Amino acid sequence: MSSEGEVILLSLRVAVLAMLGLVPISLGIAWMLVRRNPRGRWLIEALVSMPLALPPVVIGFGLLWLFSPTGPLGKVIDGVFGGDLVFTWFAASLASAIVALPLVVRTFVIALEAVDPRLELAARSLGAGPWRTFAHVTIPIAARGLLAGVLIGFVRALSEFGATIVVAGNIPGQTQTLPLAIFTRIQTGDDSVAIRLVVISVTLALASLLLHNRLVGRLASGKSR
Amino acid sequence: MIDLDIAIARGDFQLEIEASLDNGISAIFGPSGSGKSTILACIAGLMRPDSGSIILDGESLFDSTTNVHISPENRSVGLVFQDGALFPHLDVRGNIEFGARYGSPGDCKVSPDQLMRLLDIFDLAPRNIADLSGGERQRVALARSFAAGPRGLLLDEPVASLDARLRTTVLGYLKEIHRELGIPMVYVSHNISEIVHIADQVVVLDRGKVVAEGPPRTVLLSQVIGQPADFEDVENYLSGTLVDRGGGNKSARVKVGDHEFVTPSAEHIASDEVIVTLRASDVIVATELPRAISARNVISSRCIDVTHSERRSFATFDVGEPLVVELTSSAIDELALAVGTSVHLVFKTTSLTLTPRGVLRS
Repeated sequence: MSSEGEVILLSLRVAVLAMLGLVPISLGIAWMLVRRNPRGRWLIEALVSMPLALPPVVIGFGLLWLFSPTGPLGKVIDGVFGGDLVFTWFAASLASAIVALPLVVRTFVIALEAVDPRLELAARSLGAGPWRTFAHVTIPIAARGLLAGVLIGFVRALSEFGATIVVAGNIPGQTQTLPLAIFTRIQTGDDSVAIRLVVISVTLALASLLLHNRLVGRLASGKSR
Repeated sequence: MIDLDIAIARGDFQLEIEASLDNGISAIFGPSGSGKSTILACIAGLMRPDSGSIILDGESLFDSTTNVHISPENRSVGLVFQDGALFPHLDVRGNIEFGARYGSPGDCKVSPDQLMRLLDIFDLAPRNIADLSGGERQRVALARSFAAGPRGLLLDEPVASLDARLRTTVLGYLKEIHRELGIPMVYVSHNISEIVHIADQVVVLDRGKVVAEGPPRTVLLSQVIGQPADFEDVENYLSGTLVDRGGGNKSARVKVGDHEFVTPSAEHIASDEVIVTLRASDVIVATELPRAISARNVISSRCIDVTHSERRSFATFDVGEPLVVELTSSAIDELALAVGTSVHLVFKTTSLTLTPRGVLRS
């Protein structure tokens, strides 16, 4: 397989894993913010938005400290799995997920806020418990908005650079995702490959964004109802 | 049977109510902010009272002394909202089957298909709910609630957003389905005519307290006589059967009790069972038989009730069903109207409106 193909597959794998972990967590946080209106809402919102405000390098450094073999979480992982997370593609996923979290939660909050709470009450009074109501009423009605959140998160995960290079390194074939590969080619003066990767990167981003905007546009024009 | 004894306080608002709602249709009447919807939310389990108990058919749904609070999905109590609150991601059939899937449909004597036929929405089954009219939405919402096999049904101003014609139609369906299932229904409304037509008993609320309860006509008329005349028009909804549809210029004839009413043509009405709407202020009362009069309806009847205050006066007459007539107190005095007085009721053909009435077809 060409090195470009390898880079793309690895990037997709990293981003997909990041979203698999991120979606349920974001859904839980967004649901709690919208429906429970918790007392410390401002604090939760501020914490969730932090990755948006911080330089990604700082996030990478934080993760490196947490997950390094001597770090607080790294010790636990080493004890349980007998391994090390740092400088693996899994660490790249983790970095991407953290950076994408604010975008996903914010989009999910907007999607869930658009669901009339009386529909959930109606479902409950018809005999559906809280989980069934969530799965069969809330999620399908918010589906477009949720999907938009997944896409914007996916795009952000694909383009993640700063946190990834710190906590996952830049190991070809292991943690060298698309942005890192472009960075390396620019550094080594391999412009023709760099440009090919840039074109791929732009295409992926453009396709996802067009799809996202289409979903959000429909949401705004009310066609989802 | 629903036994309520609850107290709840939220900020400035306090509700304290003790009432027994039997298996008929019970109405809760009161101005907005009087706590009507709060009571429904408590019975449905969507809101937890501060103290007291809610008992449905002998089973405790809520009891603050034993700390019982059954969750809404386990109460088998249906709730119908003002605009239906239908699920936008499901079609009509999907909405109704949602009720059948998660409820206890074993308790429902009528299948989703039968319900759709009963409510005249069978042909709408594959429709998107965004394409339904207001009256259709409410009927789908009713079918959805009934499909879940509820032990009780709560209705929060279910016809308030509909125009007068649709309102009587939906009320007719509701009455018919109640006759079929016989479960207690609690009907919240601030429309007197609606309640008099549909309910067997009424609880009048004001600022979270019960101020009156009993049979709707007497209780509500005694509420309304204290109000200025423009407060609310009282309408009569009488059940009738078409004898002659008429057509073109020709009037229709409708049997109401033992009387035949001359009404506007009924060619646009498909069913034979109708509801005749007549405003209380559109009826003239005569103690002698009027002759040579243009009004086509002259009905002999007997007075069964007189309710009056300084502001408004009502007399009720027996025409097979009670017919409420609004008149001035001087007219009551001059005619010496009292319970038992024989009268002739006079009203014009054009003061009557016909709407179809839902009936269960096997």
